[in-house]
Amino acid sequence: MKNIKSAIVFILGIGTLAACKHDKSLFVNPNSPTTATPQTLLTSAEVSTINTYEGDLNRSAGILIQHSVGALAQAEGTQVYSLPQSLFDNQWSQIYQTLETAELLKLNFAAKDPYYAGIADIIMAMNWGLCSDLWGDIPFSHALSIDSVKFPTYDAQQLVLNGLIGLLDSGIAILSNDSLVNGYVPATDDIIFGGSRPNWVATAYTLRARYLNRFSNKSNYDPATILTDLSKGIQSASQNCMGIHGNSGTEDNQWYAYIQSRSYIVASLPFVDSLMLRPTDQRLYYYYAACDTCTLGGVNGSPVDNVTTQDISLWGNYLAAAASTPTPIVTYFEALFIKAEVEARTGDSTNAALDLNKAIMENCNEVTAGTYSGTDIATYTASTANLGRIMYEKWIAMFGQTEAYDDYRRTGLPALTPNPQGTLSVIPKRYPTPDQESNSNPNAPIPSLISPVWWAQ
Amino acid sequence: MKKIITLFILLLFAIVQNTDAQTKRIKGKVLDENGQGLPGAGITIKNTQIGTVTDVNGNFLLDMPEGDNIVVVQAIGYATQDATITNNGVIVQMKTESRALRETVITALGMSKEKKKLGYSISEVSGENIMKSGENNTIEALAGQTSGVQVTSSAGTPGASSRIAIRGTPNLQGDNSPLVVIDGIIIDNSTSQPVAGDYPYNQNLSGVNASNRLLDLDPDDIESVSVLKGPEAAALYGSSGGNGALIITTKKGKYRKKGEPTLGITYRSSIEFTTVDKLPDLQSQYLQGNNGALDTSGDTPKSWGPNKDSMSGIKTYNKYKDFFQTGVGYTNNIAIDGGNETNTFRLSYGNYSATGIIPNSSIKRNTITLSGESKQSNWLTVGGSANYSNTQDQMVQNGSTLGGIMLTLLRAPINYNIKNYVDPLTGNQTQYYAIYDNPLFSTYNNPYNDQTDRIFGNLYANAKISDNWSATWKLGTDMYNTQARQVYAVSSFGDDNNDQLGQVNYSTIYSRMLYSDFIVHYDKHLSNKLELNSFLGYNFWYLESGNVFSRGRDLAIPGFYNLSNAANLYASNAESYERRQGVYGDVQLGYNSMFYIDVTARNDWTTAFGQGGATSIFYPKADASWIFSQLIPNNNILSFGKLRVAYSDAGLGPQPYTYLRTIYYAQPFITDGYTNGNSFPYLGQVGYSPSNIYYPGNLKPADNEGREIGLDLRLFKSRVTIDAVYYNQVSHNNLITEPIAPSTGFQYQVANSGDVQNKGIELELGVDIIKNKDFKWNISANFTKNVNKVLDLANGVSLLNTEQGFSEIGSYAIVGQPYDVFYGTAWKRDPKNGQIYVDNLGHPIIDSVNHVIGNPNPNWLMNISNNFSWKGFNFSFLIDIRNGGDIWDGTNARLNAIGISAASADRTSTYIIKGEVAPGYTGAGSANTTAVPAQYYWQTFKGDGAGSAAENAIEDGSWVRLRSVNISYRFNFRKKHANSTVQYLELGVTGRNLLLITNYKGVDPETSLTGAGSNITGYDYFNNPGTKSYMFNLRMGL
Repeated sequence: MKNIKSAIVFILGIGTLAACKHDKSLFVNPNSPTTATPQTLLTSAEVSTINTYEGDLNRSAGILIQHSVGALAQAEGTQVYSLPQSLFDNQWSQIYQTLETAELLKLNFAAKDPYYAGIADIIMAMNWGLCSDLWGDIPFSHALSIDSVKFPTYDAQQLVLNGLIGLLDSGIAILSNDSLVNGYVPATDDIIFGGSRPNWVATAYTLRARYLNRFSNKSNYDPATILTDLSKGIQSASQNCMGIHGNSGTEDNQWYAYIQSRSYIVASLPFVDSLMLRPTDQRLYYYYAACDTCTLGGVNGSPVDNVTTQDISLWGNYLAAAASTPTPIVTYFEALFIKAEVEARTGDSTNAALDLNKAIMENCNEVTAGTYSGTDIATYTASTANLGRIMYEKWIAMFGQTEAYDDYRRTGLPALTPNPQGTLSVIPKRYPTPDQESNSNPNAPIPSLISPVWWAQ
Repeated sequence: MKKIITLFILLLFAIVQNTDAQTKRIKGKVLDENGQGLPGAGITIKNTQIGTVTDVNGNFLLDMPEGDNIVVVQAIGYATQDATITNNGVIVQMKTESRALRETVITALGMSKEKKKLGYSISEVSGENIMKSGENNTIEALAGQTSGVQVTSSAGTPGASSRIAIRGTPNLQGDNSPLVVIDGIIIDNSTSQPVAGDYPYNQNLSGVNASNRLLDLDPDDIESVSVLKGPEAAALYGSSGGNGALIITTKKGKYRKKGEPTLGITYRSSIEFTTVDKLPDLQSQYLQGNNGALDTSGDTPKSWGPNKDSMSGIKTYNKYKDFFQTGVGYTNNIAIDGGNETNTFRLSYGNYSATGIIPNSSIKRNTITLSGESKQSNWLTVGGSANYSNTQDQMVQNGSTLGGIMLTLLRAPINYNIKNYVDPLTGNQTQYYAIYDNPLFSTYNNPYNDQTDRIFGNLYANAKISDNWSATWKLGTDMYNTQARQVYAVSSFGDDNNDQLGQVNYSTIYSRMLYSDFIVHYDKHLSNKLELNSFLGYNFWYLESGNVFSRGRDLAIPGFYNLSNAANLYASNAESYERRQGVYGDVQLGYNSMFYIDVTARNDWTTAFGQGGATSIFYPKADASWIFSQLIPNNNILSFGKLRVAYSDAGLGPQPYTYLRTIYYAQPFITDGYTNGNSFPYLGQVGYSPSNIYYPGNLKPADNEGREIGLDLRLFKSRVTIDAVYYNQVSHNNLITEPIAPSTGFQYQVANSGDVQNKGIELELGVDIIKNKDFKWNISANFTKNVNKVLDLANGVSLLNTEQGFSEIGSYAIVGQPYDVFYGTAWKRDPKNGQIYVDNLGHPIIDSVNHVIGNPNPNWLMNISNNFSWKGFNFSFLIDIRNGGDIWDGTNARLNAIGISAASADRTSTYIIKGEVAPGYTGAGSANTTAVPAQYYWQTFKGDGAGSAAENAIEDGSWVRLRSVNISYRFNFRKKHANSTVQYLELGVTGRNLLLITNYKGVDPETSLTGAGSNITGYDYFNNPGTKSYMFNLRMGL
C-alpha cells in the first residue's frame, strides 16, 4: 500500500513535469517573430509611407499654406504659427521607423529578391524627401545604425537631397533590369502599384524631377536633366502614384478618418475666394463639401485671422469621400506643373503655356473625378503663362499635398498674406525639431522656425 | 616518608573538606514540558551570580553554600521558576512560557522558525484579524494590520483589485508586488485585463476594475499570513525575493489524542450591507447650458445654464439617489476538520455572493478546499492539499471612457432624469449629451463578465532520517483560466470607436505554474552552547501564461453578442514561458541562546536570460541577532530584548525575453494620435516592421539590496512589546524601456538603468493594558514611514516616463525625486516670489515646460487597533491613518470646468486670480487686479479647460478612517455542558469603513484608476467610489 502511494506521487510529479514546454519559446519571445518576409516588410513600409504623406504633416502644411484653416485644439495653435516641439513627435518617429523597415528589407532580401530592394529604394527616397523638405538638415548618413550610432549627427540638406536622388537612381536601375533573378516578385503585397515595375520606374523619374527642381534657386540648377527625367516619368493619370485605401477599418483614408472623429480643421476663405474668381471652376465643390444645413448655403471658408466654424465647410469628396478614397502622392498633373515651371524658367513660354493648360485640365479631371474638364479655365498663352501664374495655378491644383508648402517656401509664390494674428510675422519656414529627438540626441539642433531651409534660401 | 605525604594529603583534604564544608554539591536535572532533559537551562543560586548550565541531558552539578537552598532556573521559552534544593538533589519540571517568547513564525519556503532566532523583519497577521476586517479580498484584508505595508484598493466595486507594496516601490517599470506563497507554493496574484493586440494606449486608464487573483482565496481558510518585508526576509526566494513576500498558511486539521472527539465542524455565515462612502459634492442650482443660457438639446454637457429659480416648469432630479443602491453580500463557510493521532484532514466549502453599490455589478465565489496529513511511520509524514475556486464577476466601466459610469453620471445636469434611459420606440438609449452614454443605460447594457476557474494545491513528504538529518519534498501547482466577455450595446458610445455600432470582446487568460522544493536539513547541538541549524535545497519553478483575445465590432442585430453578428472581426494572442531552477543553502549558528548568525545563499538559473545569456545570478543574505536581555538578570521590566541586523540582495523578478540582443518584428500601429490610423491586415495583406524597441543585449536582471537594523523588546512581563526597524534598500539595474533618438530607426531601447532607494522606519507597539482570566484589553499600533528616491537614471537621463498617463499629467521617475512623482503642466511663476504670472486679461499663463507637481507616495502610515474582551464578549476596532499621498483629482477639475461641482455654484461674481502681471504686459510686476468671469475661473483656473494647468488639480489624499469595528459575543456551550453537540456560538456585528475624515474632494481617497496591475498610483479620473458596510455575523463550532 505504501509503495503504491509513493509510486502515485512520483508518477504525478513526473507527469506534471512532462507538461512543461521545452522549446525555444522559453528563450525567445513567441509573440514577435525574429524574421520577417519581404512581402510583410514591403506592405508595412508602403502603408506607413501613405499614412505619413496623408497625416498631420500634410494637414498642418495645408493650414500654413492657407488651403485650410485650423480652428480648434492643436490645429488652432498651428493656425497662429504656434508649433511646439511636441507637435510632430509621432510623425518624425514614423518616418524613421519606415526608413528602418525599408533598410532591413534591403539588408535581408536584396540578394534573393532584388526587385523588392528596388521598390524599397524608391520608398526610402520618398521618406527622406518629405523629412528633409520639412525639417531641412536631418540625420541621414549616420541614421538607422543603432548598433554603432546612438546619437546620429545631422547632415546638410544638400547632402540628403543628393543621397535620395542616388536612391532613386538605384531603384530605377534595379527595376528597369528585366534579367534580374528573383525568388519572390512583388504583387498584391505592393499596395501602391501591385508589382508593376514600369509604374515604379515612372514614379521614380518624376520624383527625380521633383527633387532636382528643388535646386531652382541654386547655381547648379539643371533644367535639361529635369525635362529628360519628366519624359521618362509619369505620362498619364493611370500611372499616378496614389495612396490606396479600403473599407475594412484598418485601411482608412486619413482625411476621411480625421473628419469622422474631429472637425478641428475647416475650409479656408482665401482659398475659396481664389477658386470663386472663376465661378465655373468646379474643383471648389470637390475640395470642400457644400454646407447643406448652413444658412449661407454653398461652400464657405473661414477667414485666416478671425477663425470661425459656424457654417463653415469641411473637406469634400476629392480627398475625403469615403474610407476607400485614394490620395495623391506623385501625380501626372504635378509632373506637368514641374514641366511648365522649368520651361518658364528657361524662357520656353510657348511650351510653358501648353503644359500649364494641360496641367490644369489634368488636375480638374482628377479632382472632379472626370466630371469637369477645365477647358474653360485652361486658357493660358505664351504671354500669360509666367512663373507667377504657374505657381498660382499649382497652389490651387496641389490642394491636399505637402508639396504646395514646399513650392511656396521655394518660390515665395503665390504671395500669401501671413496670419496677422500669428505669433510669427511670416509663415513658418520649417517644422520644429521634435522633442523626442532633441531630448535624446545632443546632436539635434533647434533652428528658429523663421530660418528657411537650404533650398528655400 | 610515605606516611608524611599521606598525612599531608589527608591534611590538604581536610582543609579542602573544611572549605567545602561551607558548600554542598547538589545534583539536579531540569526537564522540559515533555519530561525530557532540557539542555542549556541556567541554574543560578538565588540572589547571587553563582550558577551553572545544564548539559545535553539536562543534568547539572552545583556547589551550594550552606544555608542557601533556592535556585532560579531559567530557559528561553519557559517560565522562569524558583526551585528548592533538597539533600537528594532536585528535579525541576519547566513549564512553557505561554507568551510570545516561544512563538514560531512561518518564514520563507514555508519553514517554521522561532521568531527569537530571526535577524530580519517579519510580521504575522492572524486569520482571526483577517476575518475581523470583513474583507473578501485577502490583500485588502491586510490593510492597516501591520507596519511596512501599504494597501490601496482601486474601488469599492465587487472584485476590484487591491494593490500591496511592502517597503515602497523599488522597481521603475517592472513588478513591484511581493511574492504570494500559499502553503509553501508560490502562486499567482497578478491583475490582468483582456487587452487587444492592436490597442496602442494604456489600458489601465479605462475599462473595468480587474481583480487581483488572490481574490480566489477564501479568507476564511487562512490560518495566518507572515509578511516578509523586503529582500532581507525573502532572500531565499532569490530572483523573486526583492519585493518581500506574503506567506499564507491555510487552516489544517488537528491531531487529536486518544479519547478526544475526532471531528470538528465550524460554520460561519454573514450578511453585509454596503453603501457608497463618499461622493464628490455637486451643485443643485444651475441647469444645463452655456454662458447662462439654457440648452437641453444635447449639444452641451455643461451646466453653465441659468439658475433653476429663474426658470419655471423645469424639474430637477437627485441622480445620486437614483443611481446608487445598497449592495447586499452573503458569505457562508462550512469546514469539517478531523484527526486522530496519526492522520488529519480538513474539508471546507465557502460561498461569497454580493451585489455592489452600482446596479448590475456583482460577484459570486465558490471555493472548496481539502487538505490532509498522515504520519506514515515515526519518521515519514506525507500530506497534501487541493483548492478549487470559481469566481464570477460582473463589472462596470470606469475612468476615461464615454461609457464610464462615473464619467457620465457625475457630469449629468440636474435637469436630466437618468432613469429615462431607453427610448421605447427604438430601444436605443437616451442621453443628455450627444456623445456620453446614460449611466444607467451603460450599467445595464455594457456589462463586463468574467469567470475564473482555479486549482492550486500541493503534495509533500517530510522525512526524519535521524536525530540530525531530515528532508522535505514539496510539489505544487497553480492553474487558472479566466474567460471574459465585454459587450457594448448598439447605441452606446463606450465602444472603442465611440460609434454606437456595438461591440463584443471575448477573451481567455490562462496561467499555469509548477513549483517544487526539495530540502535536506541538518540540525545539531554542536556543544552545550552552540547549536547549528542548516539546510540545502533545490527549487524548480515553471511558469506559463497567455491570452487569446477576440473582438467583433459593428453588430447587426442589437443585443445579440455572438461574434457571428459582427461585421468587423479581430483576434490576437500572446503567451509567455519561463523555467527557473535554484539551489540554496542556509547555515544558522546559535551561541548560548543569545547570539544567532544566519547566512543564506541562493543561485538561480532562468530561461528568461535567454539562451547563451547570463548563466546564473547569485543572491546572498546575512543576518545576526543578539538577545542582550540574557545578560540582564531576571527582572520584571525587561524580559526580552533583541538587537538585530540584516543584509541581503535579492532579485526583482526577471523579465523573460529582454536580456539578449534580438531584433523583433511587430505589427506596427501607424497612427499620429488624431485617428485610429492604419493597421493590418491592410487590403488583405499582413505587414510587419521592426519593433520600435531595441534590445541591445548584455542586460542584467534588476535586484534589490537591503540593510536593516532592528530592536525587539518585551517589557513588563511581556505585557508591552516594541518592535522598531530602520531599513535602507536600494534597487539596482532596473530594467527600463527608455526613449532614444527616433533617427536611429527605433524609439525605445531596453536598458539597465537607475537605482531607486527606499529607506524608512517601522514601529510596532503592543500593550496588554489588562490581562487576566476574564478580562483582556490590548492596544497595538503600527507606524510606517518610507522615503522613496530615484538615485540616478543611466546615460545622463534625468527624467523617464514610467507608464503612459494623460496628456497634461504623467508619472515620471526623476533623479532626486520620489518614484512616480506627478510631472505635468504648471503655471508660469515669478522665480523671485513664486507668484503666478498673469496677462492683461487677468488670465494666468501656463509655463512652457512641465514641472513636478505632486508626490503620490504617502509621508507616513499609522494604524491603531484596540481589542477588548470580557468573558465571551469581544469589542475591537482598527483606526487607519495615512498622512500625505497626493492624488490628481482630474474628476474635480472636469466637474469644475463643466459647472456641475458644488464649488462652481459660486458664479454670480467675478474672480481675481492671485498673481502678478507678467513681464511684457502693461503693469508688469504689479499685483493682478483684473477680474475674470466666473465661467472662465471655474473652467480654466480651477478646471481642466484649454489653458489650464494640471497643478491645480493635485490634492492631498491624507485620511483618518475607522477601518473596522467588531462587536461579538460567544456562547461557550461545552464549558457548561460537556456533552453539548454545539461547542460554541458566536454572534457579532462588523462595521467596515464607517468613518472617514479627509480633505479630499472626490471619492474615497483610497482609490486608484490604474489598479493593482499598474505601477503608477494617485490618479482619480472618474474612478468608481469606495464603500462602507455593516455585517452581521454568526459563527458556530460543533
